[in-house]
Amino acid sequence: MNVNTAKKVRRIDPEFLRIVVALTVIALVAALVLALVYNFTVKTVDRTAELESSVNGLIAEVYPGAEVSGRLDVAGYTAPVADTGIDYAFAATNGAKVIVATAHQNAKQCYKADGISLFVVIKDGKIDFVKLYSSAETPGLGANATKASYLEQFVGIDVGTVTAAENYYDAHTVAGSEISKVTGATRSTNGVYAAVRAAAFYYTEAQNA
Amino acid sequence: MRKKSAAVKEFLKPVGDGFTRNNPTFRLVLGTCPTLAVTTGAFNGFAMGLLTTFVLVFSNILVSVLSRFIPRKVRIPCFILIITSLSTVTEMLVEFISSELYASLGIYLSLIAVNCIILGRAESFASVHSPLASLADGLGVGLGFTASITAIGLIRELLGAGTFFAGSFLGHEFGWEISALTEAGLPMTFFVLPAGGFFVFALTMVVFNAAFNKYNERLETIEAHLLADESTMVPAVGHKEDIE
Repeated sequence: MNVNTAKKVRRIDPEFLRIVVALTVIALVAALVLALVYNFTVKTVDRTAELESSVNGLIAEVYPGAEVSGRLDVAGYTAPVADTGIDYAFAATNGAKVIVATAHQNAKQCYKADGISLFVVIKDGKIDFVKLYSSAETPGLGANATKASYLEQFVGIDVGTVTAAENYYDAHTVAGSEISKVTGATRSTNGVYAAVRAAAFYYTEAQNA
Repeated sequence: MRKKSAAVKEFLKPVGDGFTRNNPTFRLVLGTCPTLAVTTGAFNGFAMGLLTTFVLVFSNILVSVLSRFIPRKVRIPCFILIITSLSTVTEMLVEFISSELYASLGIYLSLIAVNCIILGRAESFASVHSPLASLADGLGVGLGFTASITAIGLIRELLGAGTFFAGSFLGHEFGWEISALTEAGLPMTFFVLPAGGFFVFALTMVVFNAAFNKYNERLETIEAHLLADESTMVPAVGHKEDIE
């Protein structure tokens, strides 16, 4: 029995072993590197793909037949609205712009630290659609200000009206529009309005560029 | 000091050769698929060139380091495994950094893995040279490829779209529209189509090779003159045997 085993072991070609070891080691190291890089990049890649798919869906929903024609430059842009930011902006083939604007938390706006991010669709100087992108406002109270039924009040409003409304923190009804604040969710309402204002400012700037 | 400068020269020689005698696009005629496909704009060509350089440099170094451990019989599968892994890593990183660039390079980004330049340099150079020489070769050939396809992209973009280095990266849009060209109605879509790609590729190759051959002929003539002068020259201070 032992003699047979010894014979079998002797029959294995060392060159064959070298080949197997070399290929196995290289394949394992390659797999490890690929897994690490994949793990590092997957979240951002998925988020970007999800965003692009959402914007495509939004454009198709609001303007049937139109599609996204490209991304707009948002780097370095700061809207003249306190604690807001423009995350992404896309142009559509029909001239509309989809702007992803975020209002960050401060003493007067947004109840939660995550802030409120909105898709704001603007065409020919008028807001055509507003949709929630992400928010963690309190369900039942603050979340009422991010519901579609509240956000659709912005539809049809001129961007000039929104950018001019500097007193929106304190007014019950935003000047020049009929958008009233949600009772018990003043900070969330302010956050929504700040994000829409930032998008309106960005749109004006992009049109003038 | 002299040793140091000789080492620098030795390092820089393959880098320079990558642009001239070893130019992968115009001299070796390798990697023609991405050359024709992505050069509709200069920025696309530039980005593809740099990404190929990245894969080429690292694959050359890895192949050079590992070649002594890789059995000769399976060297090609091993090289392919290294190159495909590096190109997949590059693809994932590009998608992570810039989705616009990822979208504009499309399928050609994945095809870096089968770019003949990379396997060619791994097999013919890196596997028989030191890691430092392989790094220099990868850098030279990669940058030569980058310069060539950027030049082709520039010509096609100018004549086809009337723009100069237009593109978008990390949310920044850049480039110039050459209004004189657009006003003159010069931009012809032909140049950004595949047929225009072949046309510009052929023209640039003719110009490059004509210039290169002329330069080589001049160099040979000078060398021949120098050799002839050396053979007829009488030493100013002769050796003892010469005097005797």
